[in-house]
Amino acid sequence: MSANLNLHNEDRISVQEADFDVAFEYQRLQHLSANNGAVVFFVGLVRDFNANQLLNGLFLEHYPAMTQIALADIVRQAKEKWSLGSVTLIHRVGKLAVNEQIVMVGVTSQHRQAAFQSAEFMMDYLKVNAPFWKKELSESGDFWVEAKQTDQQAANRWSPKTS
Amino acid sequence: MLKVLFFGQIRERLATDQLSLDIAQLPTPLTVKALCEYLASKGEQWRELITTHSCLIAVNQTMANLDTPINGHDEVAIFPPVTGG
Repeated sequence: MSANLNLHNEDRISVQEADFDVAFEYQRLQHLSANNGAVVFFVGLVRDFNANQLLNGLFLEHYPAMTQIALADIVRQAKEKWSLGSVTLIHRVGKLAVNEQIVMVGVTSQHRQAAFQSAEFMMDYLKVNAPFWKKELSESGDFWVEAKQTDQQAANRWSPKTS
Repeated sequence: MLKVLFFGQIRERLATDQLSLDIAQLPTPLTVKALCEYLASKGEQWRELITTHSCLIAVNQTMANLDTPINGHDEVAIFPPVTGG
């Protein structure tokens, strides 16, 4: 067995309260494989508004026993659809202030198309398949975020025949 | 015992984060649909919140459908549509 050929073990999936360091995560992906010519990153931040009001922040609830399994399944599906190098997927939970980082996906591949498309696929799938729930915290009270039909539509476009 | 977990707005409005149920007291054969019907019969708030068209249900940490069978020591989770990312 040759450990350096086992790309699967180089994927990194984390659900955590702590912030993440994009520069560190980028350097890690950059150095994993000289075979890959593309790195794509997406980072999601806490907005300071919703449709109705200014927000102080968010609370992210999750289902701890399932979250990691769901994220690993999304990464597995992306690696089945595209030829990818390594994937990093990090999602934060707990209380987050405005402008803090919530989520990041980083992906390497030989060429940019697979990296761009798979990063978008993983974010679209995460939004409708991973057990996280956002509660918006504002001066006038705390409100659970309603799921958006547009998020379901965004996820459906990756598999039009089955949805 | 069968463990049933609730999350998000459903957990908050039921003021319950989990139940332990004896499968011998539940309908046979037990499916997701039958469990939801049983829970909905617990009261007005439960009937309003535990509906198969507005909840997502996972059995043993995997998304389930109405016909998914449930066994005596499974972990079932009932939650609203997810809003992460």
